[in-house]
Amino acid sequence: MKGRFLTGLQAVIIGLLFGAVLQRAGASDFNKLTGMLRFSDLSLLKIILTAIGTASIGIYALSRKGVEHFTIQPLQVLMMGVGGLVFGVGFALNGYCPGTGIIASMEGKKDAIIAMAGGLAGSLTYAFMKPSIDKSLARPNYGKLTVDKVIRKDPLGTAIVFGVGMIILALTLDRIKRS
Amino acid sequence: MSRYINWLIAGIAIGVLNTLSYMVKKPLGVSTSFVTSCALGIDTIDKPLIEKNPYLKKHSKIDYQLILVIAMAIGGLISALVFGRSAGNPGRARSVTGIFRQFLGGFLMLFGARIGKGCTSGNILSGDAQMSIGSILFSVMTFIAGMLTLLILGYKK
Repeated sequence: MKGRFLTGLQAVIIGLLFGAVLQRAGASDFNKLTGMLRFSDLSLLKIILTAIGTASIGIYALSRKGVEHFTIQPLQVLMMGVGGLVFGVGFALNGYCPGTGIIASMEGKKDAIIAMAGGLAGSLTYAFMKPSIDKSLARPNYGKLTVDKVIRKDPLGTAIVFGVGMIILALTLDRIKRS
Repeated sequence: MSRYINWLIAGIAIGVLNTLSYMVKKPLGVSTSFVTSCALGIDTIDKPLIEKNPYLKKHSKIDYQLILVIAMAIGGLISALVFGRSAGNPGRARSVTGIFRQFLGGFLMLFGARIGKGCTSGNILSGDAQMSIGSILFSVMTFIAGMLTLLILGYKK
C-alpha cells in the first residue's frame, strides 16, 4: 500500500512539472502547434527532438542499471502506419495533440475543449471497433524491433549516438531550413 | 523575443521527466487516459457495458498514467494562471464548420492514436526515445499526414 502511494505521488509530481513545462514552452499554443506541422515555426519540433534525445540516453542508461520498464510496441507496419496517418490528419484538423489539447482546454480555450470531446468519442468508438481493427491491421508484424536490434549494436551505445544525433539535429534545424 | 521559455531547456526538461517516469513506472503517455476516462464514466452509468468489452474493462481503473495526466492538466493550468495563457483559435468555436472541424479532428486524432497505441507522448516522445521502429514509423506518418492536411485545408479557418 505504501509503495502504491509513493508511485502515485511520483506520478503527481512528474505530471505537474510535465504540464507546466509544456505550457511554458508554448506547446499548447495553437499557432505553434500548427506552425510545427507547416514547418514555419520549428521551436516545438526542436523541443521534441531534444526531449527524445535526452530520454533515449536516460532510459537506456537506466536499463543498463537493470531498470526494465520499456513500452516498445511491436512493429505492425499497417497498425503503426495507418495509426500515424489518421492521428496526423486529426492533429492537423484540430490544431492540438492529446496532451497539449488537455492543457489548452484547462486554459479555457473552447476550440480545444470541442476537440477533446471529439477525442473521447473517438476513443470510445475505437474501444468497440478494436477487435476488427486488430484483425485487419495485425500483419505484417516484425515484433518489438528497435534501432539497436536492426543494426545489431549495443543498446546503450546506440542510444547515446541516437540521442546525441537527435540533439544535434535540433541545434542545426534552423540552418537546415534556411539552406 | 519570445514569451516562452528556451526550447533547449524545455526539451532537456521533458527528456529528464520522461526518464524519471520510466524509472518510476513507465515512460510518458497520454492517450490511453482518454479510454480510461470513458471507461470510468460508463462504469458509473452502465456497468454491464464495461463487462462486455474487454478493452474498456482493462482500462476501467485509475492507473499511473491517469494520475499523471490529471496532474499534467493541473500543472498546465497553474502555469497558464501564473505566466499567462497561450493562443488558441477562438474562431473555430463560433462557426458550425469550425466546431465540426474541431470535433472531427479530435475524434480522428484519438482514434488514430489508439490504433497506433500512442500519441505525441506515447509514440513520439517515448516510443522514439526507446528507439522503437514502429513509433518512428508512426511519427513520420504523423508529420506527412499533418503537413498534407494543412496544405490542402489551410490552418486558419
